[in-house]
Amino acid sequence: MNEILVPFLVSDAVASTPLLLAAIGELIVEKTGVLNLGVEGMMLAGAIAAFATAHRTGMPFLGVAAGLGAGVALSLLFGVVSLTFRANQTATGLALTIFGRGFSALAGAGFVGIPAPALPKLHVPGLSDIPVLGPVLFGHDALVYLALAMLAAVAWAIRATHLGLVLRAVGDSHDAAHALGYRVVAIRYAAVAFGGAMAPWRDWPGPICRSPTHRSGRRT
Amino acid sequence: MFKIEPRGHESKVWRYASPLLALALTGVTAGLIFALMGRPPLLTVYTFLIAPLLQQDGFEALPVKAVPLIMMGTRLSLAYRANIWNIGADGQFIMGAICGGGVALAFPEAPAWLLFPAMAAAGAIGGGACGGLAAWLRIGFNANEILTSLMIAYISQYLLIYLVTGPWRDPMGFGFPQTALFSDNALAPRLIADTNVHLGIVLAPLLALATWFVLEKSLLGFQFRVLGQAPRAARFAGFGENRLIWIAMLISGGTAGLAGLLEATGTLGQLTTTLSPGYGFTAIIVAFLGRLNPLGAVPAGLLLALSFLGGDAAQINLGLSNAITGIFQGILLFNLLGCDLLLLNRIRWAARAAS
Repeated sequence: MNEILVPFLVSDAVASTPLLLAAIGELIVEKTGVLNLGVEGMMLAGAIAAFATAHRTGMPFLGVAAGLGAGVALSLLFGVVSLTFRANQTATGLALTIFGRGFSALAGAGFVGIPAPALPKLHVPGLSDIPVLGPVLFGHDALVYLALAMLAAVAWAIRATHLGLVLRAVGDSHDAAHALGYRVVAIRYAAVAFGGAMAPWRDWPGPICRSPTHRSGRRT
Repeated sequence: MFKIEPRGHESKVWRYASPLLALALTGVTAGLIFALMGRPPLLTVYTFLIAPLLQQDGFEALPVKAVPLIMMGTRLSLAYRANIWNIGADGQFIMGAICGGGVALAFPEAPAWLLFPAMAAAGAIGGGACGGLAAWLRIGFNANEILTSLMIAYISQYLLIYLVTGPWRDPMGFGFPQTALFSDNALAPRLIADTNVHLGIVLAPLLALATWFVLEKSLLGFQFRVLGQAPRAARFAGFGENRLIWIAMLISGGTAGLAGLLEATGTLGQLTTTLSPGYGFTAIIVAFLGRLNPLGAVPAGLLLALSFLGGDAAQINLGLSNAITGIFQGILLFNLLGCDLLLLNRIRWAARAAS
């Protein structure tokens, strides 16, 4: 029983982390009344940027920075077209997804099958050695815990802070938020950029371009 | 600094000039990307966009490739004009191929006059059911059809992979993920013998014409347009919103299903996991590039079909990944949406001090 369950729970925690992070980002975006269907494009393009940089330089953290940069850059592109130029959000997001898929496939063609340099694993002496619970709850890389911490922080921020209230106001009634003196477009830009920063953690760390399976982290 | 200023009306000139400007910008952007990759930009753009037409079978391959794009794009235009966002045409396309292909695999010996129409009906029903499911979720549960139709597209894609690698895999196929070849009776009727020029080449423009007629000249089309431009007015006029959502999702889904069946029986002759290289998503670009006018989907579909052929050509002749098709399509849609700003607005250069 444990031979099956433990690896399943361990790999599930790892596999769900990129989706969880992207979903948290998109949640903030949608709270401000914007639908960015380009999450997948940002995930893929950011992941390949991170991977390529980490592989070339041999420094995982530089890769993380590159992935973040790519995600934010693409999300700002989405912002310019859909917020400043007021184009249809659905179609703009879709353009981002199509572009990101093409970009990652093109840029990633040379990296197929190469394992990624890994982020350091968190090893808590004692705790990680507990049977069943040890490998499931402890001993993942730092990103897994970061994601869970982000989830708690974002949930709290939306419910209980002034910032969360402003975000929700912009989404629920942008006219009211505008009348109160909040800069609706600027706040939406910030949310979209946050969504971009949260997206590119797909398949990272891990081998990229394993197969063209597409998973999406869209949640309302 | 420049200032964006509302025109107060829609510019007639930019309605048609904006796609051309977007196309020009896309060419420039694509050239820049090729240059950054260390490729000669002009030669690459030429190989990508022009060389496929000059090939021996270019004028045959292009319209065949465009058939599914035109069929889906023209019906999506109709739905989008009513503000009904069917994003899942790709899944409806696949589901149509699955249902129609299933009939073909189950009754390979049936006579052609019976088999192909039955497959076409099954394909349309399969695609329509996917669209209808999204309509039902929207009406019954107030679920956003953008998200549901997209999720259903993923379900269709994985169902196809399951069937083709599992129960429907060709036992004689050396383990390749594909079904047995369809029998001759199950293939889409050919207009020219021994080519891929099938029924769809005639069907697609006729469908575009019929959809245009319904949208622009019929009461139903008027209701769609009012629902899209002024939903409150549509409610006051008593145009049943739910009924219009049902119609739009069912016919756009059904057409996508039929397009999927035609692709499977017209060009492939079997079901494979790579049945759709994202045709359903490209069809959304077709709809926008065609100005959400059902007739505009015809030239737009031909252009985007060229991007698929160009991707293949670039792969064969230049050793580039055919993923540049996706890059081209993404950039084109971005530019198009951006240029549409000029429809309702004009850009004025203003001195900083003046503001």
